[in-house]
Amino acid sequence: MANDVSGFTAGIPELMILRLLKDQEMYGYEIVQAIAARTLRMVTPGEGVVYPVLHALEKEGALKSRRKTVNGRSRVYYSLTPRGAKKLAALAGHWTSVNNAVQAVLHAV
Amino acid sequence: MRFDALRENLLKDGVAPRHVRRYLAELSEHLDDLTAQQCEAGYDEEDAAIRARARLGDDSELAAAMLEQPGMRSWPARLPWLVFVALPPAATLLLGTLLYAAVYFIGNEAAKINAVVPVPQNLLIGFSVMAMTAISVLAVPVAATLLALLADRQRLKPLWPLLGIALLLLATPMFSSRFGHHAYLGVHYGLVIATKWSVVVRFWPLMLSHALALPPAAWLIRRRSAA
Repeated sequence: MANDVSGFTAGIPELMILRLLKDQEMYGYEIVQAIAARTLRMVTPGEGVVYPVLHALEKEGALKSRRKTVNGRSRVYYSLTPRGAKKLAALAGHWTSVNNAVQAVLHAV
Repeated sequence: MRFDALRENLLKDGVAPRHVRRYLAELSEHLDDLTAQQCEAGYDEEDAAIRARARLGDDSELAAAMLEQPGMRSWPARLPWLVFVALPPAATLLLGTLLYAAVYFIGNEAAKINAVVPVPQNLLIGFSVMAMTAISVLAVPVAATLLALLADRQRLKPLWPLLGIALLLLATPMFSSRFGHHAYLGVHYGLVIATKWSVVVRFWPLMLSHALALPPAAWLIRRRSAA
């Protein structure tokens, strides 16, 4: 495990995005709103910063995108690929381990 | 225009233009959604626009988010010596030779024909000679123009592209050929210094080629100095 502090939190935006896209394809604005709603607005970065993460995930083959027009508005929709599903499983496993470790420290007598 | 400053910063920091274009397009769409949301929440248009822009993130935050992702920088920004200096002479030689050989083939085959053919023999030979001359004259200016456009598109300092253009001038491919029984096709590299008028006359395609390659270099210097 990484011994620097950033190692604990690295990959969280990717994890949340991949998890959301596991259920359905979404566009950037929807993703940000969904993250804000599910985290009770605990995670509220500048909303635009989601796009570089989406583009990087697409570049590595974890996501695919397509432009789709809905209600007269054209938007880029993202969806999970099989590689993305594997990455999600790996990130979720890592996060669970980190979370368990932190919990163990917090609850140590 | 929206995000002009962000666009310039991203390009100057080496992010590939295609990534910048896509990022700004999606930011723009996101901003429209946020503004509509704020209007629905009861804010007037001006307040809604200000609140939406704040929620989107400031330019430095948006730029930092893009710059920290791997693989977003362009080849010209990452390896300028390769893109502007090492590749152009080789690519110009290769493509120029292929094109030259293709049109030479047409003229040389036409020169061998003795029978009456649908397309007049002289027309084919004339086309071939003209096309070969055009390739000899335009190969380097076209390459220089592409380098200047590429550098300007990425907002790069002109050092590497100018070095590349200088190298193209020093290593301009010179083609020579003859049709018929003693046919040959040759390509030479070399520096020609015109000390006499007879040299200029003999190597006029090369001289013209060099003269035409200078305006793109001057244009690039002017553009980057003005930026």
